[in-house]
Order: sequence, then C-alpha cells, then structure tokens
Amino acid sequence: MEHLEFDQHTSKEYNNELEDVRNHLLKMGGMVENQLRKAMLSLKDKSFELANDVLAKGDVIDEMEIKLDGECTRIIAKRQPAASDLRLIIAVMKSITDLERIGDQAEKVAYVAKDLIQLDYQSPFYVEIDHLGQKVLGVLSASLNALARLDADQAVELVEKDEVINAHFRELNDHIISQMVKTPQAIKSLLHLSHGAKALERIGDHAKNICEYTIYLVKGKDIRHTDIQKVKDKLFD
Amino acid sequence: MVISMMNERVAELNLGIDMTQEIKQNGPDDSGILDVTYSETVGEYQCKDAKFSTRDVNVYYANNQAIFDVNLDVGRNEVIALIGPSGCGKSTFLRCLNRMNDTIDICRIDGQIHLDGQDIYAKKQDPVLLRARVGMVFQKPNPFPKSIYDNVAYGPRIHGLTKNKAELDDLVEDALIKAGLFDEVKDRLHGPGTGLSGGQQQRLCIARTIAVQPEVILMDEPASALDPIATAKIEELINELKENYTIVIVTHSMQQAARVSQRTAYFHMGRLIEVGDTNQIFTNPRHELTEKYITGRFG
Repeated sequence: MEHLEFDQHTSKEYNNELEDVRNHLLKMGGMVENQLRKAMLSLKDKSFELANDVLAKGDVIDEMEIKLDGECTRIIAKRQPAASDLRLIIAVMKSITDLERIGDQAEKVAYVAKDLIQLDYQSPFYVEIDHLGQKVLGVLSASLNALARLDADQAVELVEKDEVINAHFRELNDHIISQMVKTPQAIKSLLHLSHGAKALERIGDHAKNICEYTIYLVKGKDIRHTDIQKVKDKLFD
Repeated sequence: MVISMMNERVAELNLGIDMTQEIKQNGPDDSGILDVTYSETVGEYQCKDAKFSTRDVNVYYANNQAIFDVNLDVGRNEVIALIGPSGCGKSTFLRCLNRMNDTIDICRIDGQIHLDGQDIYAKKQDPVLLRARVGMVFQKPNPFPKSIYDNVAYGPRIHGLTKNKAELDDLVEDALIKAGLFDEVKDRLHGPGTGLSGGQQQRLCIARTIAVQPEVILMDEPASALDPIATAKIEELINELKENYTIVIVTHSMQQAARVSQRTAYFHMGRLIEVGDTNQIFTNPRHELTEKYITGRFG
C-alpha cells in the first residue's frame, strides 16, 4: 500500500486533523534540527550566547511533544483510525519521542560547548567533532525529509548510514582517548568532548528510528531489529 | 486487595526471567515479520477442510448482476466478517449460504456453494434441513409472538430433536445459557418474547438459532439496532460461540468486524475485493479500495 493520501476522507475535519498533526510534526522536526545546528555552532565558534539560546529553547520542544501527543490521542479516541491513518498516528507518536530526545542530546552538546569555553580548551578536536556533527545533521535533516515526503526508499538508505556515523564516532573517541594518554592535564576537557561526540552518535540512532517509522508508515512493516540487507531484499526493489 | 495485587506483581517479576529466555529462544524472529505473505488472500480465499466453500459464485436479480465471480472459503470455527458499502452484495452473498434467496423469484445463482463438501444447491438438498444446519440471525430482533420458552423450543419441536418434555426443557435452558440470556429470563420463561428489551430479544433470537444445533450461524448486522451495551454483549457472545460454531457476520461497523472476526472480506460493487487476516486488513490492507473504505475515504 504505497499510495498514501491523507486528504481524501469523507470527513473534511478528519483531513484537517491529520494535516495538522503532520504539519506540527514537521515543525517540531525543524525546531529540533535548528537546535542541533545551533549547538554545533556554539561548540565550533565557542559562543556562550548560542549555547544558552539552545538551552533556553528546550522547553518549547517539550511542549510540542505534549501537544502532539494530545492531538494523536484525541484522533484515536474520536476517529478510530485504521490502516494508513493508524500507521500515521503511530509513526507520529513514536517519532516525537525520538525528536524530543534528539532535542535533549542537542542540549547536551550545548552544555559541552559551555564547559569547554569555561575551561578555555584549545584543540584541533573542535574540527573533528564538527565533522561528525555535520554528518549527523545531514542524516537528521534527510530523515525528516523522508518522513515529510513519505519516502521509504530514502529512509532505508538512511538506516544504513547510521553504521557510518557509529564508525566515525568510535574513531573520534579513540583519538580522544589517545590524546588523554598524551596530555593527562587535559583529561577533563577531553572527557567533555567525548560526551559531546557520544551525544551526536545518539542523535544518529534517533534519526535511524525515525526512518524506521517512516518505512512502517509507508510499507506497513515493522523492520526494527531486522537485518537491513534482508529488509532491502524483501521490501525494496 | 493491594497486597494480593503486589504478590501477583512479584510473581510476574519472577516469571519475567523465564519469559526473557523464552523470547530469546523463539525470536524476535528476523525473518518472520518480512516473510508474511499476503498475495494469495487478495480477492479470493481458499483453505483446506473449509466449512463453506464457494467457487465462481454469480448472483443475478432478473437482469441485474449483484455478485461477480466470488471465491471465498469459510474455515471451521472461524468468525469471518463481510464488510463493504451498502449495495455491495455482502448480504446477498450471506443469504446464498442458506438459500434464503430461494424465496425471491427473480434471483438466480450460478457457481458452486459447498457445505462440508456437499453442494447445497443440489436437487436432493432440502432447504429446510439446510437451514437447520445453517442458522440465521437478522438485523432486527424478530422473536415469534410466543413465550420465551416457545420461541426457543420452536425449532427443536419442528425438527423432532427431543424425545420428551424433560429433554426439551434441557435443550431450551442450554440454548438460553449459551446465548447469555438464561439468568435474565429464568423467572419468566413463559412470559412473551416480545416483552424483552431489544438486546435481550436479539439474544433470544440467537438462542432460537442455537437450539436447532446448527453448524454455522449467519448474522446479518445482528447489532445494528442495539445500544452499545447490548452490542458488547452480542459481540462477547460471538466470541464464545466461535468455540463450537462457524460464524459469518455481515456488519456495517468496521470496529465490530475488527473486534469479533478472525478473517475479514471486503466487498465492493458485487466483487470480493480483498479477504485477509483481520489484523492485517485493519493495519495494512493490500488493496486500495479496502484502504479507502476502512479509513473513511469514500465520498
């Protein structure tokens, strides 16, 4: 079932409700994406103001999550959605949990930025962690696009990309550990950096979850914890 | 009360260890989710050892064709729901299964309908005996203007199912118990059946159907004239009855189809569009028309 249209119901109000849920989800996705972008910039440019800005906006995302959960609950109660409508609601409810957590991880990156500014830490690692951050940002952004366009083909490609992010994170972390051995006086700063890198890696995992929900929404199959090659062979051309 | 609940909780936690091991042994199975195949269920359904088996069924009312080439098996002790918009042929199809269409002169039926492998439209088949094996419950409760007892005893008397009064009493009581009505009417068995509430009348009609000891029960929107509580009782009853009977139910309530049936068949303009596992039909239908109908996308 891959011809998904959510604006064809007999009830126009139902169309509007589903449309609203989708719009609010995409708005929340945009906000979360922005939070991560700003958090990365605060780290790269050593900007206290940007980091504080990220931390101040965290509440707005939490509020969005609660609001969207409420909308979905009301639709379930009033409309008893079935088939693709049901899968949309489930995918939205699950996606917003991951989005909220991505927001939390972005805040963690902002905290790391502030801590490193306070420690006045200088190092080439800023460039390396920025590389990882840009990669994660790219995947997150593409995941949200795939969800917005109901593009399962793109989503399955992105699920595969999570492994690239994980490998990048492990490599970066190994560098950080060897630097700890070389410069024990900088361990505190390096530990902060490692936490920042871990937060980015977690964001990659959440983005992957969102792609899995997208595939569920479009294809109707729950592919979590399933070998991705098998999924591609069986569900995709 | 609270303590006993806590004890249960602790017992559950202890069980938890075993359960995780069981999950590890049995899955979650990688391949299972992906290997579910749906293709053979779209548009027609055949199963081994079917209770009802229909092949290439076409039904005409004079020159109008109401049903086109339906191939649908009904498994034993299965509840199958027939859904679809008004005029899609689901009730017509249901009525073919116990030859209720015989009474309509202009109605003509092509194709084969077998019950336990025997052609129910064969010349030697007595429709009255067929209807004893394949009972029917209608949309509006239609008890006879007789006592509750006589309503239920009517069928067994006609078909001579009992030897004496005591046996008949037992049969009536048993049918009323199975229909979940006995406790409500045991003190007024000889009061009029029409004096019961709508929901009770419908359960009386189900008791009347069960009393003839049928193998299959056909239900044509059995709860559409009832309030939600009476509906819930009928649905609960359907759940219990499926242990012993095969049930074919026509319903306009999609939620009802989802709740009571194991298999759902979707009809559209006289054709069987899709039939499949109920869980699948309501979460991931294969056919676009099914999707449109169950999600309310028909204008």
